[in-house]
Amino acid sequence: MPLTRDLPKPLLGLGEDGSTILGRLVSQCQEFLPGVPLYVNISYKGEKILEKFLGLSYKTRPTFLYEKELLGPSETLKQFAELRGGRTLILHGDLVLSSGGLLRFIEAASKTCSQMIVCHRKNRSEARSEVILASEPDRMRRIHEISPDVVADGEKTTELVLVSSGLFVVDLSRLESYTPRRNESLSPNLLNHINQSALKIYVWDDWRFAIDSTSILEEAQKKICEELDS
Amino acid sequence: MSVKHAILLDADGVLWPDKGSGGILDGRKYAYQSLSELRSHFGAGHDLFVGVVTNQTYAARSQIDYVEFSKLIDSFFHDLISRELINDFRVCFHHPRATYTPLQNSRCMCRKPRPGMILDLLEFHHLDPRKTVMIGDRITDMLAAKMAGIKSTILLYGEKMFEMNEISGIGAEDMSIPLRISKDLSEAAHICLNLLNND
Repeated sequence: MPLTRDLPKPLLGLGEDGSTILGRLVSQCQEFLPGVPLYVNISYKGEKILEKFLGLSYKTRPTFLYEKELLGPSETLKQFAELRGGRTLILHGDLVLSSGGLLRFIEAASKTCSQMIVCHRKNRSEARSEVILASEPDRMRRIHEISPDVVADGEKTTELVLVSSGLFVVDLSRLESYTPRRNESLSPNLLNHINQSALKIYVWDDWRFAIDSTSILEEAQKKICEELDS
Repeated sequence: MSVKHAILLDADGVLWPDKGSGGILDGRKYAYQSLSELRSHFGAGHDLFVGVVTNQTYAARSQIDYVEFSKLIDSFFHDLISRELINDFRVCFHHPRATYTPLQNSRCMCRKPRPGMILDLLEFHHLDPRKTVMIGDRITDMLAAKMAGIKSTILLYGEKMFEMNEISGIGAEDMSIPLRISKDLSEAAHICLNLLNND
């Protein structure tokens, strides 16, 4: 049975305490980047994600950006870029990351003004949602004004598949003059447009899983248990 | 005397589809076409060196006998040389966790992202790194090129583009590279031509 028949990937469970992939990412971001606004772009079975998170208090709840129509990753980023520019950390919503690894990456990112791409040891990342974390709270006012917790509502859309490392810091201002094609992925054109300057390479040297099978989910669950025990 | 321009190519994922280690055994039919098309972009009169630098871990993983594999590789690339599709090649057979222990090596200078194979080709053929372009399908290729002094690199878009080879001792988090991404080898050749003609 496909992992995501009943649930979107970010809602797959990680432990007996009811934690989920997305819940863990949100908690990690809030812990390591306190006070920085967090945006979650959702599409496939997004209503289930909303059900799960809207029960949280406003202070601990990210802002959800619901794609009523499938936009494709490029258009998603483009629309977000129109609301804000500047360096933004983008994480795929199917990632289960070592807390120590993520903290080290955030510390490295905070010491540079460059765009950063994370390289990893193996396995591609497939993603069906993205977590977009704005690093400049003041510039986020406009998106707050026009978007409550849910920007739009609608039927579920088809799956997105991104080809990338799953974590990167990009300057979204570079997308102002970019016009994506419909359903455009993170295409060569888009990446070249974003990365007009030197890109810093960060080698992820800790455990990291892009969940795309039951066995990988189980591996991730095991690592989380070890993390909690240590 | 050095040639005017040089292109260095990774093999798996560039000359043929990346099917994991051992993909080279099925790569011949793709390589003829890929390299012919690449050459055709530049024309017969263009003074161009084409080299291949590739990590091949099939034998290190004990999936084939090393002697047999190295002979196959040698014959494969010499065939490409005899057809004037490439000028030379370098191959790294090592892997840090090779199950065939003679190939176990985590400190070799040849395995990309280390620059040994590229530096060797540059020196042996008196190639100018400023007039050389590296085309690869992984960031590993870009890092190896950068460490060898090659500024012009093209990364082919694909699912493994941000995958790193298992290797220690690379402070890649401190490195910056200008990333130029191409959707396929044909587009990369077009970009190469522009880059090299505008040097």
